[in-house]
Amino acid sequence: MEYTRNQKILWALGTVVVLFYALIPVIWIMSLSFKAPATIGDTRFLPSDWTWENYSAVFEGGLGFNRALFNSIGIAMITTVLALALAAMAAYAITRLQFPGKTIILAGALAISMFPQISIVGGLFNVWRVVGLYDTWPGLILPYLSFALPLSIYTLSAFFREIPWDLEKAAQMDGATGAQAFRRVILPLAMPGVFTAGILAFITAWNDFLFANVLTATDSARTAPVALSFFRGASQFTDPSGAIAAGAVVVTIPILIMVLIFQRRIVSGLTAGAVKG
Amino acid sequence: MAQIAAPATSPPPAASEGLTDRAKAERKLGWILCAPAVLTMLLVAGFPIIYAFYLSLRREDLRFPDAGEFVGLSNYSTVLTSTTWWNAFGNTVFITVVSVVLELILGMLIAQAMYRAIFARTAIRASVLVPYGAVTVVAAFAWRLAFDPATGFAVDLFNLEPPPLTSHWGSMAVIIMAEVWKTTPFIALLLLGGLALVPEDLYKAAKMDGASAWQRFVKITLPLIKPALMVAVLFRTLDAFRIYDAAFIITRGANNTDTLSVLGYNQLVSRLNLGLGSAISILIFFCVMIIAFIFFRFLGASPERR
Amino acid sequence: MRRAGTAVMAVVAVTCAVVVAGCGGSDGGPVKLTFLSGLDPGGTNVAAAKECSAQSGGKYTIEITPLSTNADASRELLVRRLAAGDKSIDLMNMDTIWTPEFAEAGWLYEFTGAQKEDALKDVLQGPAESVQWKDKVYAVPLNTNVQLLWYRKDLVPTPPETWDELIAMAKKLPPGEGNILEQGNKYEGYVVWFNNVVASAGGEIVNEEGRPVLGEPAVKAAQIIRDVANSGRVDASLSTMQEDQERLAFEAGKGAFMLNWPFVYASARDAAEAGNPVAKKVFDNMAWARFPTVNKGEPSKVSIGGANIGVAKTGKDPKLAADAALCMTSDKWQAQEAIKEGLPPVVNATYDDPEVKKAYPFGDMLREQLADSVTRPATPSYSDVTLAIQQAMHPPASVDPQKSIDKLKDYLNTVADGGMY
Repeated sequence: MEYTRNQKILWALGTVVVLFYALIPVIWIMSLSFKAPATIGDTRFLPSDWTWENYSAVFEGGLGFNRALFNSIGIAMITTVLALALAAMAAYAITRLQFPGKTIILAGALAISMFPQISIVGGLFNVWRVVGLYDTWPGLILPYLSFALPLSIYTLSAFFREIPWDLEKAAQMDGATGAQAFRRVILPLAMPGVFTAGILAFITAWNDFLFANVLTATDSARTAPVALSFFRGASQFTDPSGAIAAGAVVVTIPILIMVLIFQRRIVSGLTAGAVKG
Repeated sequence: MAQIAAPATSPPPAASEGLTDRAKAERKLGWILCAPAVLTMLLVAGFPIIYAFYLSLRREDLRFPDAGEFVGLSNYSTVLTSTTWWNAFGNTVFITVVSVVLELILGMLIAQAMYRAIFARTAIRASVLVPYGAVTVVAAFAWRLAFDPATGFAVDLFNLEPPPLTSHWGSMAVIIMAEVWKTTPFIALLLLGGLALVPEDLYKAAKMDGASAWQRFVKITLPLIKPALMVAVLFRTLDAFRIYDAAFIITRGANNTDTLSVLGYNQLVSRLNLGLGSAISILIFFCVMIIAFIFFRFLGASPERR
Repeated sequence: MRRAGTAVMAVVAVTCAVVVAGCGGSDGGPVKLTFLSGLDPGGTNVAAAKECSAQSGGKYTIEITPLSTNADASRELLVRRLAAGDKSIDLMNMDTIWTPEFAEAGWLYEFTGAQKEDALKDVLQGPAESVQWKDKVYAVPLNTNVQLLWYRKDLVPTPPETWDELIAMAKKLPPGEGNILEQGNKYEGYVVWFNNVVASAGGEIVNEEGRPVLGEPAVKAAQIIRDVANSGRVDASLSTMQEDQERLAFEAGKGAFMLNWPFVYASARDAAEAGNPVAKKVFDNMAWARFPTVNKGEPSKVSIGGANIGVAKTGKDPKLAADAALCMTSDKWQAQEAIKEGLPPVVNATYDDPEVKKAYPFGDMLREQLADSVTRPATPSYSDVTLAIQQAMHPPASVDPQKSIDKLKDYLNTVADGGMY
């Protein structure tokens, strides 16, 4: 499509506006994280003098952030692996096998993905405190499965449908065993889908705040976003904004890197599967 | 949070013709493969919601551990006759409607900009994913700290007096902005996917017939991307209706900005009143189900048939 | 000293060393007591924890796990952990108003016998009441706080005795300079104001069951709040003003009267010493008086702030933890808290300590006001009560005395029934 001069200017302007829109808040929080405590209240957009002080406060200031990051990574990874394992079996069955009840399973998963989390968190709190899952890793991983699992089932089903399964048969005819055919032919075709579903599940688990806020209490399971909301200043009268900003950057960077490296996959996961995390 | 829309009931694969025995075996295998996922979902989502319903029929306050008793539906009448519930309900509906509308408009504009971008195509697509990748809590903090009179640049820069976070509508506006910023990319990407499906020739033909840009948009683009649009709107609506993170971080309910989820949290967690809190939880659950039903039944959002 | 002798502890410690398994932790070492508390900016509570651990002769070591600096967030976290039966809490720094809630829920260890005596020995009446619920003692008073009337003696020759006098005096001064600075934001500080006026008028907001009492004194209090807000002698931002904004306004010469906690004295001095001429003039003329009362001749009664140390019933060794709490609140640490952290002591005798006297030129006034203090509405559902007050009585300028109090009464009855308004 050819553009007129005006149209060109218009769309170029549009591009710039979109870039601003997407990046300003992130640049702002990064800029805040580099402000020295003495200038944190200067209300300027960029720091007047740059410092790493807030980052050292976050990692060395006894705020429990290191442990919270470890919890976040561990809990999100285990959630992802469990969700993928269970969802892969279900998605395989749903796309490849004929059996009654699969519509119900899909509809059920869809319904569960619509559940407001506030609706299940109270019941979980009351049960967890009795059975001893309160403030533990499994105590968070289980509720995380309530959204990671339906999400993975849908994403994987969407990807599995696109796999030319006949190739498996062809390979078997060529003399490969069932296992070989699966490993050499199907697995490489399925991996991108599994990978995409995994990234999306990981991001949603990493993103959670409500479950982690209610179902944890100490360093033993508190995740990074919740630790962030508990940051405090060195004393009652020091403002923790600098530390919060630094922690926020630390929490966001790994996800951003992941999102940017795998942007094609994520976009295809989001749009082809119409899945949102 | 996690939501899904495009499901996958595909036409039965070729394997279905065969002997009854084989069909039986296949059926069994299907069930076995699905069982772990189904049981887990029942355990982590089905059971808690049923348990919440049970709690909602009781007086259950952890600060008065010995006073638990069955009270029937009285928790529901308490909630539904309270002003705080309706206040939070109004706030939630307002936030939902305004943010979804804004997201649609902005999402459409951004999708067009991405589609038509003449330079920095990769940069623009990558940067749009930045808000998507930002953790909700971080997005909420970014907006809160920007509008905080003590640390933020926005109050001075735009000369906002009184600072927005000290008033009801100002606080609501900041919450909505944080929500819109974070989730518009999702809509934009979905719509971009839809735009790519529209054949360029159709536009050209319409243009020759003298159709204005607006007419072309309404007559050609909109109908073609409607399925993607409806699914996006459904999931964004449900998501916005459950809003918790942003409201909790930005105001924590100050200036009457409680949302339903924050209200539920306050009853469940701050007051430890599990009975009332569960009644609120169940009511939110029903609201969400009603919204979903309306979308499926009347607005033609139908992930199942896509 | 209000503490049991360390000699006894030393003996027990020796016995422990011999019969390893019997006492303390299962491994025979000192019991690790977890103390959930905010950190004192001057480091006093960290020092106290360290020294008391050392003095215990190997019986316990106290480890501080820092809480949030926001009182509401801290309460929420503690409540959630206690309700979940968390066994890792031994000691906790509690706001004075949490005692009934925590005690009623059965989360607190009760101080009895010698420990009870020790906890209350020579403690001023207000703080002593704040650790009790239904005639039992559930915590050790740590520090206390009470608001005074701070005024400019260059503008106001004799301080007002009642609120009506206060408003009248302010109106004789020009707007701005003559302003009355109070906490008008929708938060706990506003409830303190309301409660102070209700108590001074001889009333009560709720009884022990959390049922509203209110009545005439409350209506009178509501009327005073409205009158102050509409006097034309308040800051434009009254409805969002908190303690620190008040202090800043006062130091900038934007008020002749300020109702606030004693920390304002030290910060006004610091501001003056920093060389600001306005702040210097303010500090040189800064004087203090009793919190205004309602009816002339009836002394004002105000609610106390401050903190106590509570012992979790589900902790590792509550009795031992109670000893640790008593150690950390002993005379020495009372004085340290007062001097280094600006937190007034709870023990009467500490006010006569020469160093404390130097740091608190207004110490006698403080003690006098504390002797007449009341706790904020003592009820297990305090958090509900305070929200109800904020909901019914805010903003100050639109209070309608009778109507607002009727509304508050409705709200309070609703929450007392376990409902929502």
